[in-house]
Amino acid sequence: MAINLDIYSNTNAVTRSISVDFFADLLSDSVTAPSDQIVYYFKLSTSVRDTANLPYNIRIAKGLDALALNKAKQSSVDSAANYTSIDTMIKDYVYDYVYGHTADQYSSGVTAKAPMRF
Amino acid sequence: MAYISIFNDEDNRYYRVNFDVKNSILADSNTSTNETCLLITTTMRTGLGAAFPTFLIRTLDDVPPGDTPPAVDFTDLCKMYINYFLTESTIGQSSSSSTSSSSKSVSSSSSKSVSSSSSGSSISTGSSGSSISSGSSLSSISSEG
Repeated sequence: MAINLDIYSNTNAVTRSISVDFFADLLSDSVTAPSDQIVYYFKLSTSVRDTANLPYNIRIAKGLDALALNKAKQSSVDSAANYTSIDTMIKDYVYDYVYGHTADQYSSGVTAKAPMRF
Repeated sequence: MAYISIFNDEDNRYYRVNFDVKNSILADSNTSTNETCLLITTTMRTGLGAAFPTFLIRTLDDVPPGDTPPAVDFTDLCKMYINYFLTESTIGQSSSSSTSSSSKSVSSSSSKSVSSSSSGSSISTGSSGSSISSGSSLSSISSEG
């Protein structure tokens, strides 16, 4: 069952939610591999929009090396190290949802994303 | 939640391995904050007929007993547990079966049903309990957003 991580903004007295679930699927980027290669992964999604009123893409993490910024850097700190746990990975993704990031933040090559709109 | 279904034609039963996300304060943690982790359970029974414990996964080092950590990624980790359960369960220890036997079929499910088969066994994966079909062709593929 998916979990919903609620983020409460005291300033605006509103709560936003991010859904996190675990899946086993063929992914479209894995079909060049053996056709029966099922991939197990975490998927994060939300219906919330950012301050530019743009939606968020689905985010997929196949391992602890799936760093939030373009798979190259973590979002909350300038680090290229793998996440140390599932919990730190999810928290870093949530951080990225809430605070967004600048273009090429930490030299990750990531495109800019505005913070979450509360 | 992702799950994999395993059909054992020796007893005509389906067994499941479940992979579920959990966010909670964990009693064995030194902190009182919520942690996100993966819980792995199965309906298979051990060779002695007892239930397998629930495995709590925090990192890729949390591999099954007897396996060498770390797992490469979540796919590698999940496969380790599936193999562990099959090996240690009554399925794997039945006198006329082997883990590589074609009488075994393995399936898991997702929001899209996917199937593949070899040697008479069927494999499908999923996470929402969608229908599982057996065959040699892929029925659908989910796209990464």
